Amino acid sequence: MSVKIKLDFTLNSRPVNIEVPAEMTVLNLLRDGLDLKGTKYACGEGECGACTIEVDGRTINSCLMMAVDLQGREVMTIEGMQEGHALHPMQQAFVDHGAVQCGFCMPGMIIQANYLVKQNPELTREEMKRGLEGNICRCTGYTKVLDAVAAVVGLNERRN
Amino acid sequence: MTAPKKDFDFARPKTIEQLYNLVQECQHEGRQFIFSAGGTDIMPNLKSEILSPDIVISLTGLRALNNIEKQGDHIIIGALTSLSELCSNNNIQKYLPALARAAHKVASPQIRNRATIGGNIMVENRCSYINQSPINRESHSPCFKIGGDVCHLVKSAKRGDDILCQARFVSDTAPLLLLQNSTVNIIGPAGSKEIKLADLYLNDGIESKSLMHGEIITHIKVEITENSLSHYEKLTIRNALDFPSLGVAALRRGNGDISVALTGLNTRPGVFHAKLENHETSDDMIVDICRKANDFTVTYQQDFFPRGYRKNMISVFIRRAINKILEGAKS
Repeated sequence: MSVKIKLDFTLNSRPVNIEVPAEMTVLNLLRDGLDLKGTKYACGEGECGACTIEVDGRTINSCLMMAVDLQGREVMTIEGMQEGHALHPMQQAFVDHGAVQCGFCMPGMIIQANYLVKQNPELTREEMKRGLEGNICRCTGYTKVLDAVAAVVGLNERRN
Repeated sequence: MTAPKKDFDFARPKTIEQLYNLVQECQHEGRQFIFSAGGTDIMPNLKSEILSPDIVISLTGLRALNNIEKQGDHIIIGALTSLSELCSNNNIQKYLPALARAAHKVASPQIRNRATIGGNIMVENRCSYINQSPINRESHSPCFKIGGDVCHLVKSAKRGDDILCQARFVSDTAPLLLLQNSTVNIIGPAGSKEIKLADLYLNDGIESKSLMHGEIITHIKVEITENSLSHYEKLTIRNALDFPSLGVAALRRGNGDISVALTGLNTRPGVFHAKLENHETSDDMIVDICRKANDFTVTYQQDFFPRGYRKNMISVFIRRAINKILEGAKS
C-alpha cells in the first residue's frame, strides 16, 4: 500500500490541492491524476523532452520529477499557454510554419521553445539548436521547428 | 517505464536539523533511505529498479545550499546549485569559464535546470550492463554492483578483488574542480568536515565515493588560480544527452605547469601534472601526460565507441585541450 501525501501547488494559474502516492511522477499526476493529456510520455528517462513542462519558470522533464516535489511550486503545461481561445504566438508560429508532423513531440518542443525565447528574446539560430537539444522529433522536422522559433524572435527564415 | 514499480515514502526536510532527525529515525527503524537532489539520475535508477529504497529524502527543501559566492580567492558553490545556474553565474563565467563549459555539456537544458552540481560530482558510476531496463538486465545474471556474483565485463573478477566493479566514473564537472584544488564540505550524523574533492573518489565502481551513508555534501570550495587558463573537451556520439565516453580538463597555471584531469576512463577520475622546464611548453611535457593518462585508463567495451578508438582518442583529446589553452595563452 503506497504512502499518500498531501500536495498544494499552482497549475496553469489555478491552485491544486490533491493527495498523491509518494512514488508518483509529475507526468503521471498531470496525465492520469489531473487528466491533462497534453504533456506526453515517451522515453521516461529524460532523453526525449516530450514531457517538458515549466516549473517555477524553468523547463524540466516531468517524467524525472516526483509529484510530491511540486509542493508550493508553480507549474505551466501546454494547456496553460493558450490565451482564451487564441493560440499562444509560439503555438501559432508552429502551425503557420508546418513545424508539426505527427505532433507527439510538439507540447514539449513548444514549451521549451517558449522558455528559450523568454530567456533570450534575441536568440540566434545556433542557440535555438542548442536550446532544443533535449527535445527529440522522430518525424525529422527540425528545420521547420527552427523556422517557427525564428519567426517568433523576428529572425529571417534561413534554412540551414 | 512510467513510474517506479516499488512503493516508497517521500520526505522533503526544510532544515539540516529536520534532515538529521529524519535520518536518525530511518536508521532506528531500519528503513533504507536515499537522498535525492535534482533527481535526474535517481529517477531512471528507481524506475529500472537499480535503486529500491523505503524512503526517498529530497534535499530540494534545503534552500540555503543553493548559492554561489566569492570569498577571497575561493568560490563557494552550494551543492544544490543547478547546472544551468552554474553556467549563467557571473562569478563562474569570470573566474571558472571552463567549469561553465563543462556544466553546459551535461545532458540537456531541461536536465540542467534540475540537476545539481552536488549531484553531478556524486553521479553514480555507469556500466553498459547495469544501466539498462529490467527487461534487458533479465537476460544476464545480477552483477556485483547489485549484489550478484559476476562481472560481465571482467569475467575473471571474483569477490575479494581490489576492484570488483569496473563501472565508469562519468562526471563532467569533477575534472575541472579537481584541477582547481577544490574541497567539499560534508555534513552527516556525526558532524561536519571538509575533505579534498580528490579524496571523495574511491577505486571501486560499487563503493565509488567515500561519502558515508547519511552524509551529504553542502558546499564545494573552488580555488581561483591566478593567471591560469583552463579548458574542457568531451567525446560523445551526440552533442547532447550523452555521458562522456571520455572527458579531458586541462589547466595551465601562471608558472606554466600543466595539469590534466580525466573522466570516463576508469572507476575514478585521474589527475596528472607536468612541470614547465626551460620556460616553454614542450612536446615532451604533453607526451608525458598522455603516457600517464593511457597507463591510468581501463577501457573495457563499455561504450558505443569501440575500445580501441576510445583509447586512441585519449591522447587526441588531451592534445586538443592543451592546445586550446596554449592558444589562449598566446592571445
